Amino acid sequence: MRFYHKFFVSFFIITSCAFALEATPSVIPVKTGILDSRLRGNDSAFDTLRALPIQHGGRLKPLDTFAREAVQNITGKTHFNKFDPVELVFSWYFDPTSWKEVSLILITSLELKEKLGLVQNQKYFSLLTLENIKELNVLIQNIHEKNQREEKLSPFEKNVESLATQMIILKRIFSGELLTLLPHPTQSKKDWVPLHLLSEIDFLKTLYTEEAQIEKLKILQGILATLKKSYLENNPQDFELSTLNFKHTLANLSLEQGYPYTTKINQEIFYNRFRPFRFAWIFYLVAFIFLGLFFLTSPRHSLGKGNPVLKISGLSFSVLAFLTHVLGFYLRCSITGHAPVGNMYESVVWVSLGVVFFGFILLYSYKNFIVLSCAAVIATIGLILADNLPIILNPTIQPLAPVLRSNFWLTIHVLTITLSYSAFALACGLGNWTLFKFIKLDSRLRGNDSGNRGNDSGDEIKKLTTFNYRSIQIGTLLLAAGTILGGVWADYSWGRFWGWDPKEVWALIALLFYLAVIHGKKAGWLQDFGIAAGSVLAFQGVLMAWYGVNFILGVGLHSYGFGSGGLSYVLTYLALQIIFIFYAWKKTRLSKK
Amino acid sequence: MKKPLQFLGSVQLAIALIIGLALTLTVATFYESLHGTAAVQYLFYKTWWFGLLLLLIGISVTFAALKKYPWKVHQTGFVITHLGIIILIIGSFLTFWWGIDANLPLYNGEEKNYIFTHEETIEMSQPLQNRKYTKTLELGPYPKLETIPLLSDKKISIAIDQYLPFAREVNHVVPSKTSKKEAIQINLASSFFNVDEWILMNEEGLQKIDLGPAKIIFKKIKNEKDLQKFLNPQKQKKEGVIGKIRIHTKDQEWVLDIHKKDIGKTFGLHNSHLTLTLLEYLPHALVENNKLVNKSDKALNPALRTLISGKEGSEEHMSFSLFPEFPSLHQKTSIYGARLLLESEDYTDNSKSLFIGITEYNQLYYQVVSSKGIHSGKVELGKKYKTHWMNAEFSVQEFLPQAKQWTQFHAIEVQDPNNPKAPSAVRLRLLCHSCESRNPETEYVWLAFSETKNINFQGEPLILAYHPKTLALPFNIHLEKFEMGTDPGTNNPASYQSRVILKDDSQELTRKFLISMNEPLTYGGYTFYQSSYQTDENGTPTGSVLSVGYDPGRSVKYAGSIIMVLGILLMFFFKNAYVNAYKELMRRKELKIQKQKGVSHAILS
Repeated sequence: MRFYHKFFVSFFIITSCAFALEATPSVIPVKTGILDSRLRGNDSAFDTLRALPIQHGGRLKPLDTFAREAVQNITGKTHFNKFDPVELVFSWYFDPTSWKEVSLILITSLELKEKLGLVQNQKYFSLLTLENIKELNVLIQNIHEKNQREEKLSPFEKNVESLATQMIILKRIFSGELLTLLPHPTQSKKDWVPLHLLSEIDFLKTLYTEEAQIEKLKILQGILATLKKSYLENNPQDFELSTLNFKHTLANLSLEQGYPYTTKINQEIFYNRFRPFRFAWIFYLVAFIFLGLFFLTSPRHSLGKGNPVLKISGLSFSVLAFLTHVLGFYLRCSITGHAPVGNMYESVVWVSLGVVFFGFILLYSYKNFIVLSCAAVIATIGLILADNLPIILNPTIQPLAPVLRSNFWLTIHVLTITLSYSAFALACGLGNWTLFKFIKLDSRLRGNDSGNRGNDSGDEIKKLTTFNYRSIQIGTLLLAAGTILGGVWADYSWGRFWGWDPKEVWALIALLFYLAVIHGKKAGWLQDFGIAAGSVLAFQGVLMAWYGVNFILGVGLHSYGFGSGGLSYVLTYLALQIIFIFYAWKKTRLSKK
Repeated sequence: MKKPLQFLGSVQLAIALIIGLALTLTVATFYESLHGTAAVQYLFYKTWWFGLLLLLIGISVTFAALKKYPWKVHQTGFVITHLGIIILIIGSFLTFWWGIDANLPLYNGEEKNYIFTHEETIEMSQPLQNRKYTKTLELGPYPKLETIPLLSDKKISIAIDQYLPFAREVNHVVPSKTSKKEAIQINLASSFFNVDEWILMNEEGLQKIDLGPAKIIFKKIKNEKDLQKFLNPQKQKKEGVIGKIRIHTKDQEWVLDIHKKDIGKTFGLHNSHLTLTLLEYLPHALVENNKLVNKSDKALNPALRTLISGKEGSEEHMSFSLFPEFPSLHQKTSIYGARLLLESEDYTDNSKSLFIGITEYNQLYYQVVSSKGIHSGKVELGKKYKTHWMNAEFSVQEFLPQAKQWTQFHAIEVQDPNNPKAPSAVRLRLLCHSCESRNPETEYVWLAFSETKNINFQGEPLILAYHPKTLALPFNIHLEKFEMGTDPGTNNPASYQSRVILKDDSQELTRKFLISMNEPLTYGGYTFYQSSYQTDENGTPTGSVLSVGYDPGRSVKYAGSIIMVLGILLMFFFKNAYVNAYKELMRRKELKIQKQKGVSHAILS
């Protein structure tokens, strides 16, 4: 077991290195004092603040989430310079003049750095530096005007826009404008009040009509001053006491049921900290490694008769991963209050879950662990992508677009369609596995090995093809049903069943690809190899319907899901798949000769 | 005969058609991404050949199923699936031919009994002869330069000779013998700028153009006294005068002269129960910290706060003389339907202006107002005069005693064809066959989309209109109000909804409905969906846009879909189950028969 352990650890290190995207050291001019966390090591000091509800981005969320999102947006990671994000946000608010000079705004676009005359290999820049660049102001003004005219932005302009957003967020945290912590006096769904208005007593009097409330607001001002002082003077005892005071006063500010700070907020903090999907992919990876070793250690003639300990471990880790995955999913749905139909991130997580679900079903009906290991790999890839590409797959929880709200048909439609993607993803994985077997089969045949072993592999290919075809059948049923349910929804909310909208059309194209495979099999044109290649190629149609329409085509009624980025990854994947199929095809052709 | 049928039902043809459709659709979606939805509909989805492709698929599916007749038990799923696809395609054709996809834009309080389709029409009426022609067109998203005849009779013929899908209006001033309006071309130049601007006189004899920091006013000088006043103006500002306040209610109007000493007083309004109290005068109003305050005594932004009282209560109004379009009452609606306009005589206009005056004898004079005072004199064409603003000089380049405006459209490239922000435009060519006039010229008329023009062609009035095609509804829809909800703490729209009243006289029905996103109103076969909204310049919603659907193929398509999905389910997942069940049934039947046979044998023997 020691060997396996080592193997796992090294494997894990390799993968995590691969995903620590930019490993180049960053240049941060150190201004002593500010860049150090003042209350580091005193984790509980921020726990009270963390759980404060804040109104931001159209919903109430814990300050923890707000801080993570803001710090992630500005610095590109949640723990900048090892700061707790909540501490960092308060540090910005308490000491804006010092922080203004610290390089913390992440710029990745080389083109943008060049246009602004910035050092190319520097990653972070200070607000002060950026504010003094005249060209940037001109660029931002132009983009603002373009946006008002509702014109499309070029990729470069989008980069400028996101930089402008980073700067605005930082500035508005400095001033307290974004810290919308003061609850509305009566209803939590109405506009809350940000901290910078705390000194505007005249304004506050128009909102908080009772004298007692105004008194509390004055007290709050005092507490905030104490918080600032104790933080800057590095006095954890006073700080912690003040945070409790702060929360208590805020909670008593609203009159009726206005201050929600219980279950949901704590649930979300737990979700932020626990990161269930990260655990899930790690478990899936472990499961895959156990199952892979199980196959590797199996005797050649009778696959599936390997070490039962490995098999059971693989299965247990799959189940553990699946349960973690489901728990994360449950938490997310419970926090957002809607089914996972909001954005790309949620759909990737859902599709990964579906893959494993179908993996278990096929495992149950065929009693073959290949499907499960294949599903584990796909789920690992899916969740790693979701976990590591926050710009393309945005994990923040945002309110749904109006058209997506409270609609039964929509939920059913999206869940069915995306489940079909799961089945097709599994088919694609199995297809690749089959192609891999073809390559192996070929080398064994050419290695002048005895024909028997070749036949063994041939049997395995037959089995894989059965599983693959089964997945395609499941996917086809779900995609056909899902597309039609989409028609039902479109009919219900837009007034037409089918309108040749690109998303609809691509769902149809993907379906047609698989229909071609199914009919090709019926016609006898596609054998084992053809079905494997077909399931891999047709999956590119699914990717186009899933990702491409929103991110490449960018037109149509499904605009609520549009985004940008990641094209290079997808194209690389597409190219690799085509090369792989071609290679396998060439090898089998050679071996037949 | 059998061979072609075999071919139509062959799996090879099916694969070819499947791949053909997939590739066509792939190209279409990329085309759409580049050229917009209208273009792809016009070039792909709504063409005859695309319909034919779908028809071919339908035929292939039909024969594939028929070929295997008589069907065997294990083919049940296959047959049901294919039957579902056929029904689905039939339903689509029904929708395509008889379905309606239209729009119903309504302002708050508006009522309509017709809807707009996506087709376009040109409407030509001759009111004197009580004749009207309508021609429906599908012009598509590409410019057309060929002639499309619309109407031709003994007297006149009308044709489209240019069509621009995305057009920009360009106005020229041209000489016209029939016009009574004068026009001048002014040049304003300095080391920083050089602009040429045409100004055409209007009916009132006073035309203004605003060039940002400066104004140019072209006005008529009626007589000698006017001319003296023009050349030697005296700045006259009466001390203590605020100006006039104009009060409009639903059915009445009053004008009061007001002075600064009147502030605090109450006036009764003639023939009504209303009184007006002047609460406060702010000569230099400014918003500070969400509050309106007075910054100085200089009348730079005069505003007046008033109180209207009557039987039904009182309400406070705030009127700004510089912003008459601002509603004087904020947020709430007025009990009396009142609107108050302040016409300030106190306002200190410190902007730069250039007056060009024209006498009856077509002589031009100028008057320049600047910080250095007022300068005036006679204008000679082409000569440069000082304006005293930033060293700029002006000159009158050209003068046309009889001129008119000529509107033309130019084709433009749009960035986003799905949101072009440019109307389409057609140029109509009017030809007179039997005109008695000496020169029966051809005349050209440009029409932008949704535009109606009244013209006089060879002595006969003509009304030309370029509109979306309208369809009558058998009932009326009245929009009470469009409402938009936002996410807490943001301006992001969270919900859209329209409160409407449906009135059907034939059924003597008047009912209120709420149409919101995903909650349409269905009545008489028509379905109304919340699709968009209309706004004023400030972005405040002023009305709703409903999309209207009428789909006779709906139930057919739904039936086809259900049958198809059921078929796939049977074919892929329950084949063994029903094949075994059938075998079992057969086996039992056979057993029964055998038993019966056995029994009969027994009896016989």
